[in-house]
Amino acid sequence: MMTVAVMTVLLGAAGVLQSLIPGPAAFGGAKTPLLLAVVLHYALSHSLGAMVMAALVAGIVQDSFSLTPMGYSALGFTVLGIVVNRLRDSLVRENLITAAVVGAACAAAMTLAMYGMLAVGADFVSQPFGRIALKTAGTAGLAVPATPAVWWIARRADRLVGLEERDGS
Amino acid sequence: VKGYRYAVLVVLGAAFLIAFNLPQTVSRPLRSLSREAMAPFQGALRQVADAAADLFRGLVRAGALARERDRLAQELAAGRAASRRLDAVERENAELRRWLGFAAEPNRCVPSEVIAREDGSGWWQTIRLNRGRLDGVGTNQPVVTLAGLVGRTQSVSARSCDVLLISDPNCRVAVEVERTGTPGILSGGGVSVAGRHEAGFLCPMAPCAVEYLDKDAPVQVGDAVRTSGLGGVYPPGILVGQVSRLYTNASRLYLCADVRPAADLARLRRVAVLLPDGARQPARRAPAEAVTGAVP
Repeated sequence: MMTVAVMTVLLGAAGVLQSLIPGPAAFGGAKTPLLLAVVLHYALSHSLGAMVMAALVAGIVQDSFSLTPMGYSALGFTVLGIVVNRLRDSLVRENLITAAVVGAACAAAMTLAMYGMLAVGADFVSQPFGRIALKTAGTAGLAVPATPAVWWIARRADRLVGLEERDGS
Repeated sequence: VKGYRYAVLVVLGAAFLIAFNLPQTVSRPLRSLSREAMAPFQGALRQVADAAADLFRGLVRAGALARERDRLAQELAAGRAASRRLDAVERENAELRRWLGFAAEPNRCVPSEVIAREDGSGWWQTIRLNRGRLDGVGTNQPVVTLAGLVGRTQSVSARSCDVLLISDPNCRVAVEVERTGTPGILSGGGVSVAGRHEAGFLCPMAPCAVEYLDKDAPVQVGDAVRTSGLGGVYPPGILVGQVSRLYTNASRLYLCADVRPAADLARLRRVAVLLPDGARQPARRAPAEAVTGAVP
């Protein structure tokens, strides 16, 4: 129950902030991937079930804040979450560099996957290669500071309600 | 067993993708529910952020603001004097319209506040407004500011709607160059930069560009671009922006023009949705709130 409560607060706050923080034009309009960072936190520090729930809710929140067809982001989050969840035993979890690298790699992969899905599945005008490259690099760059910050807040929230010891490491 | 569990999860993910995409009747209520739940928080945070930005700008530009206030006071006085003269002209105009049998029916507008200026995914150039179906807003209705065209409504729920900006590559507008009458198609460049409207970092980007202009047309930098009315979504004559750069397309068959939007798309706060003639009365708002006004 507490897992769901903390997850709801984290995802709600991340969703609203992600929609509020402008996407810098110099980064191809890329958004700061706060929702992805929350999902990655659940992939690393919680059970697989909690991660899947977080990925689905985060996907619904992200897609409802845009014109993206419902389900695209949920699928992307879920797949990335499973990959990170499988790799978590070989990662140093409470490490700044781990957070930055995992966040940046997943953000870049998510951007490319989303563009692929939009280009194939939705009525979406194709974008020049330069802009996709810029957006991919931009979202990875924004994930570098954002992911460690989100993970730190999420860990504090988990510890506050005594979740980390039960669910995760 | 573990591998089987992952396979099930992947299949579940794929099932979600298909289930959410197939029927609109399934995905629309879910999207509406999530949007309506988040809209108050988005609106509140937007107000706090705008207030903080205003305060910061006020502190930084205190001297300039005082001078601007004095200048605006003078302009207001001059404007009031002109308004008194225009009242007489308007009465005469109405009388002449009656004589000529013209129906004086300007577009009905629904004034709206922007509750989110940024799309959540970064893939679309959209804003979210605090007006929806209950206010008479439908899909594909033009959205304007006093400065010019902003975009069109795309996704509408009961109390909010998303507007696809003219800077989105998926937004196409039939336009014409005001001075020459040359027709073209305006499409978005995928970026709306605060203040200067253009960014050229790593790849060329402009908020909007007009394509398919006659390559022999005497279009010049600085020419105004207005909607032509073709296609039926946008009424003719709405100011879109000014030509900022001219070039021929890759095939050298057509002239293209980068356009600097008249409306500051990155700092929108209040806009108006233009309702078509004969649109049904809003259910939630008083009819008086759906004001009438001239198109910019």
